[in-house]
Amino acid sequence: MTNALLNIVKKEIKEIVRDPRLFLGMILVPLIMFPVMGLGIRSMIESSAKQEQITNIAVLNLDRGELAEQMFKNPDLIAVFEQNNISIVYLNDLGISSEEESVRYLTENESIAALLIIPENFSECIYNQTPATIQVYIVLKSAGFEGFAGSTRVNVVVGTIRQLLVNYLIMKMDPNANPTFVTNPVVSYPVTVYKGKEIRGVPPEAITGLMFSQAFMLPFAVMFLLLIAVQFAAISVASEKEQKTLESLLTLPVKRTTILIGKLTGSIIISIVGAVGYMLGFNFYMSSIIGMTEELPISVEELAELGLMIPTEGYLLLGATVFLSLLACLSITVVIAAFAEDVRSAQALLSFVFLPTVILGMMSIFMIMGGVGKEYLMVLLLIPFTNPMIAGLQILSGDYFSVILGIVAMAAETAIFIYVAAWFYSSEKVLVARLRFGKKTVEREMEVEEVLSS
Amino acid sequence: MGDNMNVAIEVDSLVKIFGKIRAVNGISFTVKPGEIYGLIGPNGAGKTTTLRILATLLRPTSGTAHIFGHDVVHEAEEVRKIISYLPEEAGAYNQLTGREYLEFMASFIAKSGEELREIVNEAARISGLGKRLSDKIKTYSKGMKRRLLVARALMIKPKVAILDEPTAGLDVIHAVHVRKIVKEYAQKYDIAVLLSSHNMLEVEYLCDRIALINKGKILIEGNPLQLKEEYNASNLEEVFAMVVSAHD
Repeated sequence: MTNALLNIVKKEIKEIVRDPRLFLGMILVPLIMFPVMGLGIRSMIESSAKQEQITNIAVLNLDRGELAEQMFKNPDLIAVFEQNNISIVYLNDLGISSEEESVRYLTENESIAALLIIPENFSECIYNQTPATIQVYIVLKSAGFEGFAGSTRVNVVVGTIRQLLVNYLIMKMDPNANPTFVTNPVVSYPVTVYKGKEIRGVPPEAITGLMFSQAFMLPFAVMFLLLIAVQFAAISVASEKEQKTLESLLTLPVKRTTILIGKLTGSIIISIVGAVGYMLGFNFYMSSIIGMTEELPISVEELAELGLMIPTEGYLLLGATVFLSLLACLSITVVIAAFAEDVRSAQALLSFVFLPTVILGMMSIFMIMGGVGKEYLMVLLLIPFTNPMIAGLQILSGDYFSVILGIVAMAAETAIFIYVAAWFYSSEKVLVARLRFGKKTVEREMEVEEVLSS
Repeated sequence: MGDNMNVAIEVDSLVKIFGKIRAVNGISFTVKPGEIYGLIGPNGAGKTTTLRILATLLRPTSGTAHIFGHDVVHEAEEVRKIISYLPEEAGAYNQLTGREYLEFMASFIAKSGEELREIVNEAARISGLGKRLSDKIKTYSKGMKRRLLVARALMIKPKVAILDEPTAGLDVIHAVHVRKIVKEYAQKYDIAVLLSSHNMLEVEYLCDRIALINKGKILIEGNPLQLKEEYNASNLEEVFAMVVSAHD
């Protein structure tokens, strides 16, 4: 039995890995897709951030007073320009004195990234403590990160001007005042209290961010694992029919259950490899985008204690629940796929079964995370496909009891489904079962056509 | 049931019904070890269904079938140890090489690495595919694939070989090769061969006895030469036509 099983598993893996359609479409592309996307985005961000080229910003000063002119000579503002590689082009020096001319100058000179127009009443407004309006024109050269970076630099300039004016006004009101202190008289130190425990120096957003990333990543990983395993198992069975190898295989001196387990094992092994690689890639992609490298001043053990990370025993439970669900799903799959004539119809057939379940699972996760629909938890734990997704969330929240109940249910269901699959494969149904669509009732056609043509 | 050693295949009143169709309608025959027995008949006569029942793939609706005394329904696993079945439209795993395919199929029979190598070498000889055995099966022509499959069926020297249209779709050269191999193996290793065929020439060359089957029933049974004499016909096609029209 062991050798026979091993031979079948080896054959299954060889077939999947060597089939370019399967290997490229279901393993290689998902494996490299996210890292490539992540690398691409990371390099785009880095290149735009590290741009050595100077951003030219044009300034048209129409201020009738002297405040704007003084401001642009302020060493602090000049330092900000230097730090951010910003070069100011004073349009007044070029003989431009109207808004229309300055806008034309902006549109005609590709090297100018933005235009600031200081209004005539700028000084007057500030002296009278009325907000002054600086018009900011930004040329969006591309919808990518380059355009985004240009806009950020202009905002730096405007922000610094604002701060300088605040300082000026404060000093004007009280020459002895410290503008830095007046604008920031209070510094907040975040202490998040979660489940009765103080997490010092960590704002609640960081905690919720961690929770959401776990709550989403876990079910997503599990869903992906189940989906690819189901696909591989379906292909494994349907391709035996498509390649017309099933009959020869079934007449070999090997138990049908061994053939069945061999097919399941092959699918599980490939799926785990695929899912691990996929999630590593996905994680890399996510960290590329949101820079999830910031470390929290709290240990993993403490996070686990707070239900923010899965502890070791949680992983064991999760492993058990994922494994049992996987077996249950695959057992259903190999029976369903046996009704199909070829790989394509097997995949179509499965989508009828699993697509609604995926939607149900994802909807449930959103509902549960939104705090509603908790009464459906146990129902979802009873469905093989949604069980491990929900179990992950339950483990995070420390509700081990319902997870264990789910595992018991999964074990029972898995036993039933495997029994059904084994019975199906031991009978002639594995060869003669067909599903015919387009009728009111789905019926099994008993290979009549084949009999007639034999 | 006859003596286990003298009767390789024993079929008694076999019936198989698919829905409203009576595919096999009470046929009985026996095949001795070393004998080549042919089931001859038109499409839909019930040949493939009979072979599939004997290969333990289908269950009879009624009647019995035994292979060396083992019931094909209740002792299916024992039956599978001594038979080799070649389906009519059989394929092979396209992503494996010819040699890997043979190794995979032989691995369920061989008890040691050495035995496995011997079986595969035997198959390589039968197939005559030479170096092409190292190529993936997806690159094989139909004829090459069929030769590989015939080799797979005979390489283990089964006690009973069930061959459904062994030369179907093959050109003359490949068909001659396959027939020669089947005959050689049946004689050399005392293999009982049950085959189905449309090709009367093939049947005359290969079979020791034949059964003409139509609408699930055996119409006549006997040695091809004797049947020709009995019906005063120049070939089996004429015999077949006469028998069918007599029964219609």
